[in-house]
Formats: sequence, C-alpha cells, structure tokens
Amino acid sequence: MTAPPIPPAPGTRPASPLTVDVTVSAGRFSVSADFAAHPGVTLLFGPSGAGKSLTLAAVAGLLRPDRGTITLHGTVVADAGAGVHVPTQQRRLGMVAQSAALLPHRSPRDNVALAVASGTRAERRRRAGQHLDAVGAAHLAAAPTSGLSGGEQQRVALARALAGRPRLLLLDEPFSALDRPTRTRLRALVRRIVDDHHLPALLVTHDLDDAVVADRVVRFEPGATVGQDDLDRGRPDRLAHLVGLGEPWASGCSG
Amino acid sequence: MDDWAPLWLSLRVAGLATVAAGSLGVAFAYVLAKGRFRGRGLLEAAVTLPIVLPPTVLGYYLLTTLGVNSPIGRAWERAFGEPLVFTVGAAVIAASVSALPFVVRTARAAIEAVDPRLEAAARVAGLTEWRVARHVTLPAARRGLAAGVALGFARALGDFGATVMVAGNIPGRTQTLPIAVYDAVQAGDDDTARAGSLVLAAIAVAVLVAINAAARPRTS
Repeated sequence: MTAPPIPPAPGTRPASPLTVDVTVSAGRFSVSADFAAHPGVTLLFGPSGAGKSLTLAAVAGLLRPDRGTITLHGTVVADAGAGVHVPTQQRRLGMVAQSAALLPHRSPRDNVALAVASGTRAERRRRAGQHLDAVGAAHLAAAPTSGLSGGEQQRVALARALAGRPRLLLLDEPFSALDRPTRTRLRALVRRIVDDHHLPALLVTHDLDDAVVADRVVRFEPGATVGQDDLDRGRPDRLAHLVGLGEPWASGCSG
Repeated sequence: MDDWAPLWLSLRVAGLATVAAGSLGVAFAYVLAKGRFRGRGLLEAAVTLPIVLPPTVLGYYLLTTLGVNSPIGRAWERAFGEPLVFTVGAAVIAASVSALPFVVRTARAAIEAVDPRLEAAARVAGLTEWRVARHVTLPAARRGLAAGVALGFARALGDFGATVMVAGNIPGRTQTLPIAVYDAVQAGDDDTARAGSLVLAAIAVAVLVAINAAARPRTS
C-alpha cells in the first residue's frame, strides 16, 4: 500500500524526515527547539510544561514559529525570517493527541473517511474501513463514537491519522489517558504501524516506559531542547540513565 | 378575534426573515468568530446595532435606504414595477435586520465554544478550511446555531417599530400581528388585543422552552 522508501544514492545520507530549529511562543511562554528526527520513533521527552507540545504544534503548522525553520522531507514548511508558512493541510501529517478529538456526531468510519484525501463517498468509506481494520478497530466502524473507550478512541484516531497518507506521524501523549494494559497494546500497535509504513514518528511524552518503542530521544528541559541521543529498544532503561532518573538509590548510597 | 390574517402574515414574514437572518447571521458569526482582519470590530458593531437602536430609528434608516428616492428603492422599482417600501418585502427586510444580531451573537458564542482540538485534528488530517467549517465547526455548534435561529424567529415575529416604519400598517397587506394589537388597543377593541397578545406571548414562550430543551445535552 505504501511505497517503500527510495534508497539513498551511494555515499549520500538520506535527507532527515524532519529538521527543526525554531523558537515558538504561546503567551508569555516560549520554547527553543533544535533537533532532527530520523526514520523510526523519536521521543520528545521532558517534564510537563517544557514546551514539547508547543514544538509539535509548530511542526503541525498550527502555530507559526517566532524564529527559525522547519524542514519536512527536504521541503521548508516554516521559515519565520522569510515568512514561509505551509498550511497544516498541505504538510501531509497524521496526528494523535491525548484527547482523540473524534467528531462525536459522526461514526468512527465517517471520522476516518473525512481524512481520506480523494475518491467518491463510497471509496472513502471503503478506505476508512481498511484503515480501521489495520488498527484492529474494524468492529467499531459503525459504533456510536461517544460510547468508545479511551483505547478504542485512540485506535480510531490512529486510523484517521493514517487515512491522509501522512509523511510524518505526530503523537502527543497518545497513551497517557489509558490504563496500563491498553497502553502496552497501543504502543505495540504504533510501533507496528511505524515499521509497516516506514513512517517517521514524533512521540511527545514524559513517560519513561515509552522508551520501549523509541529509536531516539530529544530531551527537553523547560523552555528548550538540551540534547538528542540514540536509544536501544532492547534496553529501554537507557532513557532513564540519560535523563538522570536511573538507579535512584545510587546517589543516596554513595554519600 | 375574527380576522386571523395578521397572524398568518406575521408567520410568513417571520419565516422568510428567519431564513434570511439565519443564513446571513451564521455566516457573519463564523467570520467574526474565526476571522482576523481589519474592520472586524466595525462589522461587529454594525450587525449588533439593531439591538441598541430604537426600533423606530432603525426603521427610519431602513426607510431612507430602501425608499423610492434611494438607489436601492429605485432599482427595485425599475425591476419589479412597484416601490419596495410599504410591501410585505419591506416587512421581511425590517424583521430580518431586527433579528440578525440575535442570530449572530448566539451563533458566534456557539462557534467560539467548539473544542479547538477538534478543528486542529481535522486540519492536520488534511481537511480544507471550508470542510473544517462544514464537517467539524458548524455541526459541533449546531445546538447553539439552532438556538440563535430560534431567537431570531421570535424577534422577527415580534418586530413592531422597524416594520411599521418601512412597511406601514395596511390591513390585509402589511399589518402584522404586533401592529394589529397596537391598532386594536387604539380602537378600544380589547378582545382582539387580548387574543393577539396571547398568541404572540405563547409563541415566544414556546420558542424559549424549545431553546432550553435543545441546549441541554441529551444524556445517553
């Protein structure tokens, strides 16, 4: 369904799916973010209020940065200096936030079908059904949207995110409102989608457990990014060490 | 009351005015809620003006705008062979203008109350601004829009001052129910005044009850 990525010419590095070097403000708060995302899952990790979601909103084009540029698959989508701002709709993104933001007056199938870019109504609905099937939610297609559980809503939101054939997946704490078993299942689902579609993803989180699905982490402190590191999905505890939360007893014993 | 013509005329005028003020009002409400442009404050003041102006003053300005000596009035007369003022059409315009701010204010509040995350999710999913409005914002605000249109209907049905200025008080032609009540009081016809007032009050109460019922979200 999704074309395999074009292999890079020998001796060249493929363009990063996303490079970000911006300052974004909302009211008095502002965040300076400088990082590149690679294929796979990149965590934007840091405490609440660090500016992770604000950064994600700028990538989505929902906010214009005060300074700097955002480049998506080699195209500059935002350049504050040059006044470039590619509208959200043209950036071809998929987003799942903490709140699934489904339309309560439409069925899950219609919610997904609205995001299918082209085709007759019947074709859109058929495609929506396939996307729902891909996230294990085919049985929910015609269910009342307002009656879905948190996990079911997030599955439908994932299907909607995929329906627009995105080039980048934006995940803003999509698991944080879910119970633990549901969270684990949805993490595995996100990982499978990212691998199947060769889709780069940004995952905003303050949950160390999300390291099990991540290839890389961009660390945030309040107001700025402070570094980026590769992660090893086989050794999810590496994130805890990187952010100084590993072996909490160590400092107490050494003194 | 033995002549019900004013009631039927009132319902017809208010119905047409509701269609006009409803569609125009929702469009204005959307532009005022979402738009960021120069002159927005002025536009807002202009559509709100009919609430604060004395109805007779509003009617006077309408009369000046639509009268036989105005460009609009002359164009109308050329096109339809008779003046616009002192016709049912003029009554519909007066009722529409009086009703417009009630639709705009209620609808605007409803549009602004729509969860911005719904709209953001739709934009990221690729929906054009037009489709966001049609599939997300307006359906999500539909209770408030309906309330605004219902208020507009009630206001249009009850208009007196502006209507009497531009449409006059021609029994059987432009005499709406509120004007018929006034006439009846002047003529000492208490029965007619009482019956007409009762009908208008009953419709107003019914509209308010319906609005309140619609505003309460259904519990499932």
